[in-house]
Amino acid sequence: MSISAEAASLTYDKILFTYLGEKKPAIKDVHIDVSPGELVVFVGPSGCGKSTLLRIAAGLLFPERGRLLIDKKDMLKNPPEKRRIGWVPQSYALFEHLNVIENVEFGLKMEKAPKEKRDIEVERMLKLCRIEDIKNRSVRNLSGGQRQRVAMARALAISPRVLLLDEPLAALDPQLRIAIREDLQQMLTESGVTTLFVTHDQSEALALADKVVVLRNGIVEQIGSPEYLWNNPINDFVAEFLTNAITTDAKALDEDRAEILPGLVCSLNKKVKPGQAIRLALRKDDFTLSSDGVEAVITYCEYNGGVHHMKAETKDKRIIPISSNEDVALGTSVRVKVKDKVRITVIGE
Amino acid sequence: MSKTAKIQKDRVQSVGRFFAWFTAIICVTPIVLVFAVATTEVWQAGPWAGGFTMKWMVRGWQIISPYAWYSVKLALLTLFLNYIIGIPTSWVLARHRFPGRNVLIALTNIPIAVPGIAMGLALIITYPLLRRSGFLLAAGHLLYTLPFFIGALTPQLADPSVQDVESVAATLGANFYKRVVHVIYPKVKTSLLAATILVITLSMGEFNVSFFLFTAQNKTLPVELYSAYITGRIEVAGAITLCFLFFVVPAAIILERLGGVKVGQA
Amino acid sequence: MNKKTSQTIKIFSLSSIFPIMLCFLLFWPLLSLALQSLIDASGQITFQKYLEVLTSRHYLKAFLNTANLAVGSTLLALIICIPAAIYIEGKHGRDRRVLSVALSIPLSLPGIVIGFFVIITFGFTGVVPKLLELITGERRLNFAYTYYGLLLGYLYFQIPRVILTVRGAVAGISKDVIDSAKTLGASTFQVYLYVILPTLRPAIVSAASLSLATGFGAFGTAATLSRGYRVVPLEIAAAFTENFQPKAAGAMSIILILISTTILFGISKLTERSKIGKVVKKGAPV
Repeated sequence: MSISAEAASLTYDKILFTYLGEKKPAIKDVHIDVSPGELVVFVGPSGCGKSTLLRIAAGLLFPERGRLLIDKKDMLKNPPEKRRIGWVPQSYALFEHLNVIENVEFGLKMEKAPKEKRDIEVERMLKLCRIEDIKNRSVRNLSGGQRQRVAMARALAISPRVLLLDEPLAALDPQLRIAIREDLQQMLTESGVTTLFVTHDQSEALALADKVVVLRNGIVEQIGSPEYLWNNPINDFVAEFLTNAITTDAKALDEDRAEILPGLVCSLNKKVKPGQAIRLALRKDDFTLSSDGVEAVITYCEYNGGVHHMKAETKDKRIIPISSNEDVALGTSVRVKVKDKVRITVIGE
Repeated sequence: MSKTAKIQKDRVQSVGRFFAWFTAIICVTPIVLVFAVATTEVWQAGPWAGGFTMKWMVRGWQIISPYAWYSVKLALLTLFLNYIIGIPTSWVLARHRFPGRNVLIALTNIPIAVPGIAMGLALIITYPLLRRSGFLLAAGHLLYTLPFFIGALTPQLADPSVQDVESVAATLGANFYKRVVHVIYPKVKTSLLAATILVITLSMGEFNVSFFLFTAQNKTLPVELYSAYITGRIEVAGAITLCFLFFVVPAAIILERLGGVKVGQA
Repeated sequence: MNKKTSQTIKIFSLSSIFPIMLCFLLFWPLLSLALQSLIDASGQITFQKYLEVLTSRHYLKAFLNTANLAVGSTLLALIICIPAAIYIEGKHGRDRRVLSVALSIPLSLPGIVIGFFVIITFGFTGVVPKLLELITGERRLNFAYTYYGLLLGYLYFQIPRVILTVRGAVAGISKDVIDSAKTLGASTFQVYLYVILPTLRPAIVSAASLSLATGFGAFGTAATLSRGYRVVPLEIAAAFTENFQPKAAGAMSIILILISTTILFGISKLTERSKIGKVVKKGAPV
């Protein structure tokens, strides 16, 4: 991946932020390091503070404590117009009274760049974001996907040191989301800019990120690459929210095997202390229907294109996720076992 | 709040705040001054220079009370006429699409384009015999207030959320009368109240048309106010103005607290 | 009679109420006024009165004065009310509510009261000249009865109108858009110039046309404050009540109505884009 010349490093250093009039802080003692050119995704449930973090980086909100370092310099004293950061809010906030070209060149106009330079940059951006064919259209009549790209082009045109994207795909139709996600990844890779990306969609996080930051209630739960978080969730929340797992208790039989419940034994993906009580993250691809295995009743079944995703409840009320080619009616009794060669994820470090 | 939080100010808002305070002070200071004028012994010497007194207020009220009551009666009559003509018009504008609807909307705005004196003049010339009865005064006030009444009421009536709730009520078995009482009225109550206060306030304060159409028996408060300005002592004029303000300013404040009057038509 | 027909009848009758009233109370009287001003002593139609009015130096000066006041007060009102409206429409703050109440008070005040305000502030016994006399020994800023006094009075009643008209549009400017502009490097001045004002343009035009029309028709303020600075409404009143020249009064009224209507409907027609309808708001007559 190419790293653009302007791409900066960014650090949230022990940030504490409370909204005016609220008692509970929105951001509590958050520390995040971002390397130049990295695509970092902030993910978490609504209200966890991810958009707030972006606004702090943009200069629109000011924390009571902590520092915001961009290229190792504390930027908190600088107003937004002096930070050279690209910010794309969820609403895209396009200038409705201008057309596409005028929107994209806005930042360049503000810094009073000469006309030739502006034209070149704007052309480059239009090409990068694939909006050349609509460049003279008024922004008012554009589709969601087109607006998103114009907003991106506008932010990138100023060669920002950091790019902040607040739920850029949330406003789009589900169909569109996946297609534009691909475009987005290409655009970001080509431009090489350091990007902070906020989403509440965990599949987006896993698909796009170099690094994922999982947030809840203003606190960082865990930071790591998507693969690392998938295989090493630090707690139940990360496992459930980020990887769609069902968390449950188990007892370690030896270093790498555990008993989930009588009749259901599995291998583990890392070594544990024998006899220890541990938490496991169960995923639907880990389990299958079989003739031998533990008894359970199907409580949920949905078709997901090619396979069926199901949930089954055992006698002691534990829920097991299953994926299978068969379609099974609700209420059917089945037997469930761990798929061969699968190692169940252990929660915790 | 920590140092960093205070350093940045939203400068766009700061400019706005300066002008907002500047303008607000311009608006409010004169009222304070009127109070000073009305309660000073001798205004010539300066505010409260000769002492504080209520005697001008007493004198002022004596002079204008018959006219104040006349203005109130006229305002209520105007309000009544507004209800009769304005509510059906608002209703039909809010709920139906029909050819000529835009024409009707434009018509409801026409009285605003006609200066008050021209209206008064036209009415006198056309119906000279009606002048005695005060009917012309009512007509002038009606013309003047209707566009505002309709403008305040129609948007609420046309609000899709109001219509949705009404439709649901209909599917649940409520007939028209029940729907009006239980669904529509509660939802438009605020706008109706705002429109009512607006009409009364505008009518009480109307001068341009009233100046042309008044007679000895049908004289409104503002017209008498004008006489006081031209002929009376400044302290008495101030006292009468203060009485007038008592009628009008609280209503304006209530109106604003009700959410202001919505601008525009549906 | 089926449902559709009965509904059509209902709509027709409801929607006719207002126009019928308007015919009796406005159109017919205005028509009479116009006719009266067009017919001379011998009963023939003539534009003579209009010519007289339009060519008389006295009346022309009045028209110019009126235009002067209307335009001047509108411009000043726009300059101070647009930023003020932007601030009041912000989200938090107790002071915003207080301010918006304060700014709407003049809405219901008739022009004569506003004239009185100017007198007690800047008149011969007004507070400001008195204050300045105390400080500098000279009675200054005693301008109540001059052009500037009138301008101030007109400005006072334009304020709530402009604010009301502009406020709605300001509420529609999303904070995100302003924040975006800032992150793109716009200074405060650039935000106003390139984002806020262009977005507000339709509302500003509406407010301006409303203010201008009202300014032309304003009577009470001038009646109270004018000592020699004549405006058209004053001339109309004088022509009718003092000089017994109803035809001249009628002619001037018709001209004034034409000017007023053209401003109000003409400008909004020119700039009308959407079907939202005309933004109209006006307070007490002035």
